[in-house]
Amino acid sequence: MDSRKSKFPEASDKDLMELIQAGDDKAFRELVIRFQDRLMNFVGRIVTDKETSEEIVQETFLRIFNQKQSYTPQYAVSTWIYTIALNLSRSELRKRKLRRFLSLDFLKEEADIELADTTMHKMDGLAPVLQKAIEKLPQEYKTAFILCDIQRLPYQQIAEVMRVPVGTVKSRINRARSILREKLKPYKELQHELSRGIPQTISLY
Amino acid sequence: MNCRGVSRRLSAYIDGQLSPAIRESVEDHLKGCLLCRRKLAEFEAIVRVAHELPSVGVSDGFADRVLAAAKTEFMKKEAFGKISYRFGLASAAFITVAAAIFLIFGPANNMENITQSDVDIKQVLDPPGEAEIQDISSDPRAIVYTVPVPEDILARDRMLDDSLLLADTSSKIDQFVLPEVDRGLKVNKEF
Repeated sequence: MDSRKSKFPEASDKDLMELIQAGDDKAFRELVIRFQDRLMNFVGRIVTDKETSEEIVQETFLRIFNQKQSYTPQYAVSTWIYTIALNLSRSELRKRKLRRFLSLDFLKEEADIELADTTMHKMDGLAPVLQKAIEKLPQEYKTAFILCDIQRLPYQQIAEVMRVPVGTVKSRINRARSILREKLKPYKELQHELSRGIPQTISLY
Repeated sequence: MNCRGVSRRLSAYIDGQLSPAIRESVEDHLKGCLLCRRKLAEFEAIVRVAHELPSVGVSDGFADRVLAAAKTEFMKKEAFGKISYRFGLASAAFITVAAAIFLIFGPANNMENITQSDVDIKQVLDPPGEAEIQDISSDPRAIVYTVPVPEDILARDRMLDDSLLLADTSSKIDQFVLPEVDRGLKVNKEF
């Protein structure tokens, strides 16, 4: 079991990177603990296979360790880490697509997602329906939605991670939410959620 | 602002990404449009549920495994680096020795052979000027072939540019002097 008690409670991500660049292994371990669940939650929802996701998260940290000297404080550490993880995830999806094409599996419906099954039992209400709907989103909309609504990154950082303008991020997030809304409309859980929910932005009623 | 404009900006509105003027314009429309208010509430419900989705975590001992893998990879790279450094040194030493042997024994030997031969390599690489050409026609070892250039060729060449001249009456190209090959064969032939 990982010891979740931080040895660097006061250190910012950039402080940790400086220590890692100086060869501090404990700081590297602290960085792993700080980001492992966030990254797993991100990569896991993109590649939708728990085992592969964990491999990608591990590879992300190994790249950080091996290329620690290439980090410059110009960007947030989290931006750098998310960018590496996203690139590795996209690469995995491309490989998977090629494998499916070569094995003619693209003729079949894509198998249901292992990740959904492992977390589905924990959910009730609209959550399981939403989870399934997120998995079916087109890739770029899905990435933007996950980074915004699950990882809760600001638009500017999402733009840096995805390497697109902020305007494109705004448009992708809006499009993703619109698609999800259309998919969830028939479910009574959405109506229930609406009755439960308090409008967060303005009170119009 | 109409419904279409509001619909495009709903997410930015929820996330507080609109300028105050556009935000006010969106709010003005929402106050009077039930459909857009409904859409806003649905967007907010989706965002709220997404925030509450259970997270997918790594398995136990992940950080220690990553650290061990990073160290192993680092040590492998170090070891490979040393091996490639030694291999590089050995290769450089081998190439230096081989080059030295070649320079000492190879080209020098060949040069000697050439300077000792009947052909002077200097003349081959850097032919002497016309003044340096020796007339060896009186040499008893030489056989002189006289090759007259036909008049029509001379006439044609006179019409060409000087730089393209192949044969000229003023040049000595119509006399070919060949060394005699001592095989007891005597050739004296006029073309």
